[in-house]
Amino acid sequence: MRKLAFIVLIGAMVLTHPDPSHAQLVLYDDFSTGLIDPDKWYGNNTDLGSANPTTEAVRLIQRGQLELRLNQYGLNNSDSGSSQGAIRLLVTNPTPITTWQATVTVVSAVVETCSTNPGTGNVRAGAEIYAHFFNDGSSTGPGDLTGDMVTGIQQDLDGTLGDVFKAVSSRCANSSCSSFQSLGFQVFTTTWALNQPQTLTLTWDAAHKQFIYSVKPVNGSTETITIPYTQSDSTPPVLGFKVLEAQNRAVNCNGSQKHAFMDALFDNVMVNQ
Amino acid sequence: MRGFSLALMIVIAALVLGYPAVSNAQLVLYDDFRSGVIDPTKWLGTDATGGPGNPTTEVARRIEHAKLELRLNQYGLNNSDSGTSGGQVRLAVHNPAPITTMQAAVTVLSGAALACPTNASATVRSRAQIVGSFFNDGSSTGTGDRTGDIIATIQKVADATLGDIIQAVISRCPDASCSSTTTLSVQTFTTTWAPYHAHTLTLTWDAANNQFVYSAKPVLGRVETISLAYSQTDSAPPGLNFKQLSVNNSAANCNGSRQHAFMDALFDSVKVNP
Repeated sequence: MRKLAFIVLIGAMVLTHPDPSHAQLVLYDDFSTGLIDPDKWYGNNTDLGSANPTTEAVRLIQRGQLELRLNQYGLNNSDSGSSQGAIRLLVTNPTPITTWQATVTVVSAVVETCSTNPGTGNVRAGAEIYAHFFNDGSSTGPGDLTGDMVTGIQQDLDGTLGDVFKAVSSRCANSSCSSFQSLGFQVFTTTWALNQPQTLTLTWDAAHKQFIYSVKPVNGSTETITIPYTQSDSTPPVLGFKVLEAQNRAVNCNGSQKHAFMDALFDNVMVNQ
Repeated sequence: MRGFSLALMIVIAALVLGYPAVSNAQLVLYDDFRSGVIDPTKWLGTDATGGPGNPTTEVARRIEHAKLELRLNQYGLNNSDSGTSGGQVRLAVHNPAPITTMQAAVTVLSGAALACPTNASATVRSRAQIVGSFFNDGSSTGTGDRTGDIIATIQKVADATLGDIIQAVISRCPDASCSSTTTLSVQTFTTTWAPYHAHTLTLTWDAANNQFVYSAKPVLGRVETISLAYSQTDSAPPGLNFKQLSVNNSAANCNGSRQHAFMDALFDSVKVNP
């Protein structure tokens, strides 16, 4: 009888214990201070110009959560490509971070498509967490981002795919990182809905040369994706960003100005110890 | 008959006194922000932010209760006792060239700029502005070279030294990028501001008289007008033509202590010359 109780106890402990990666996380910020902490964060934006304006932009704490909101318009004199704007909050000291987690809730999202520019992919409004974890050795020094590995989880309203999560791994293809080489891309089975929080976790698993991405709805089970890489990972990134972001890519559309809009809340940001 | 003449004189006097200034009467509505979202055919937004050492944290450029809200929180360096750290959030008009008068009702909800005792010479302030470049003094080598651009500004200022004031300013770009400006003329209005009190601020380039004309009118008060003259040649267009509403904060750099400059302002009833 005593043996049975012991087995039950051990079983209960095993079942309720969190997985190792989550157990090691510590709170970085829960945005309960009212103002964004300048010792933890700094903000920046990517705004476009007169022909494809970025209009609304918000980076505020609202009711104990970080709100990032952005409205991006495309060109209305072109049926080629898209126009991308972003609003971000970045960690001040990102280097030690190898696991990056946040609870993300999309409050509102809009993506307009263009019937005369259907070939442009990745038209989207996205709430995402992303990071530069290492450089593959291609950089020639400070200021040259070539070879920085950029990895992220995107909670997207995608003009083609709908309400999806994407695991993305890419490489900066030039010194300014204005172009990327895609190294891996997978869409989660899990989807999202407005006002439903999801915990997104991004881990650099250097020991196994892979990135681990997970999505966990509040009342659902965790879905995990791994994307391996073959690059050398012993060089630190040129810019070791760890970022929360709303990033919108509005389709360019001749004769009609289309937009992509995202309003998202971020909370309970956790990192590895 | 004498009574009729007197009454007529009173009516005429009342009409004259009650009639708005000619320049105001000629203005037309550009935007009253009642559309719910910022109109992309009228406006574009831009920002200037600091980095990890002097972060820009909160920012807002949105319509709230049918008014444009511009909000920015800028921190200074905490490892220096020299200078300030700047951040801006702006909304600029798409076609600024024809605009010679720009007006908006400006209400500061909250403004603060914290001084640093060990960097007392720094000009520390947060500002809600109407600002534009109107001409070039002939120094520019062409489009994109802003050297010699003349910029006029009317602004509500929360100044760490001067307090809550309204200023009229003329400044000049000293180099191609205009990363800083040289102040040519500045004057402070007698009128001051307080939170939640709107003022109609008007900025006019009066090229015929080689001057800029600035006015500030409280909702329930008299118009105060300032004219600042300039001596530069004004026949060339600016290297970068812009007319915008902005919040522009300069936070004190302060060794060992993080100071900030914060401004939250509403803009409404934007009018321009026809």
